[in-house]
Amino acid sequence: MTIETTDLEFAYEGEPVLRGVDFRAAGGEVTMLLGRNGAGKSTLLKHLNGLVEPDDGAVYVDDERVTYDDASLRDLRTKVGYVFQNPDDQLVAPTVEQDVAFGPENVGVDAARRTREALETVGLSGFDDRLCATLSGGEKKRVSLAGVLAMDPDYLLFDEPTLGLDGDGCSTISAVIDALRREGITIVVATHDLGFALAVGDVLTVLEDGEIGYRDATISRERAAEFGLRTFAFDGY
Amino acid sequence: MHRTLESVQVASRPAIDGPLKVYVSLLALVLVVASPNEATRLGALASFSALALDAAGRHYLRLLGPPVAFLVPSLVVILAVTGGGEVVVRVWLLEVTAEAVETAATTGLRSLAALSVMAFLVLSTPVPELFAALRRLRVPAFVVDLSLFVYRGIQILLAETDRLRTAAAARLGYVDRRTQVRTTKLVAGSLLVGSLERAERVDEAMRARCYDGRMPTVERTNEGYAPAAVVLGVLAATVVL
Repeated sequence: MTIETTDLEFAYEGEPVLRGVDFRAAGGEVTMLLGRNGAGKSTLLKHLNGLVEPDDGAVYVDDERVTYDDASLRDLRTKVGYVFQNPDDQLVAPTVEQDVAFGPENVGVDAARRTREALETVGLSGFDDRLCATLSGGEKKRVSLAGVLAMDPDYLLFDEPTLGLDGDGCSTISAVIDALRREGITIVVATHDLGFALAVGDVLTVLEDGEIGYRDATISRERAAEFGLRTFAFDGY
Repeated sequence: MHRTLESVQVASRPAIDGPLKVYVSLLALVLVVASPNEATRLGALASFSALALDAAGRHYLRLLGPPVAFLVPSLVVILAVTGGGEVVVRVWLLEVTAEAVETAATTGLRSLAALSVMAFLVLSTPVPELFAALRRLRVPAFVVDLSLFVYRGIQILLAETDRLRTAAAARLGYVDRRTQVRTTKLVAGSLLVGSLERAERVDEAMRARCYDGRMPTVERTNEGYAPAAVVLGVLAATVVL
């Protein structure tokens, strides 16, 4: 089970964002995607979920090339879940239950059971009837994660999952990622939080100017600084 | 207001719930309007007021306030201008006839009965649930989807307004009347762009979860067959008797 891109090229309004990216996330691994602001992390994640079509190159999921017709996109998005950076952009329904059930309803599976299980996984059982607008930032983040988990994906893409979360929120996200890894789900996390990346990730991939600049299980302080990553993780913060 | 009403709807625990609640309310509304007997309207007013009070408590009375405020002057006008029949009250130049009293009473009762039915429905039914019931009633899918989409659009617009107003207030944007006008102008300008951008991001999020143009709706299970049967039975009996 792998998700990969070969020679991926993408430009936004004539400005190159991805320049021949060969990205690979292997089955059951947690791949941390690091890089400066504007390095192309979110754009790469959107390619992996089919939200953006490459100008050139290809995306492969389970060795099958992604095509962009409706049926293939539906298959792709059922397999590859995407948790957005800002939960306010992701929550589409008034109540927690309706929002978490949104994906399963779209693909026609047992929405009630999936919703219940997903809310349990993120520790929000009993929140079904709560209005999304009245939740705290951390709770919204967990609801948006539950909305993706309810689709039972094989691959999970997180865009800045720890952004704006307190210690408890980060621990919940780490625990969920750990549990999903044990279930064999392949996870890609775009983050600026190097401490989180080192603690949770199996592989660190750094995007630099739209290209893969680094890929290894760990990274030194000097290399991290070279890539413009926050190095608090090495300084004992 | 949208959040307040939505909170009430979500928190309400009506005795009749699910799509059944929508069908019972719609049927009752038809009976209230079509029945030749005032007893039907009295029955509807009593039963749906009880149901609404049970489901939403004091919010029922708050919701009734504005329409009743419009209803009362309308009834006064009816009393003043409707002629015919014996004069029952004479105040200076104003004569209120028996026919005027009857028309005002019928109109008032009919309005209050219909209001109580609608209030019960509005206070206990979140919009997506209402459309789920309409979908089951074979209302064309494009009407339901479009309505849900418009509803979502309104929510985005209100959320964006709220965000912009808070951001402006935090930097003294409403400190005096002149600033208030300037800020409102700025907020209005940003609102359209901001809402469109936000709507685009929400659309992206929906597509990421397999949205294909058809808005899914979570349907609640039907509850309260017994009270529904009692209410409809009483109303139907008042029509026939």
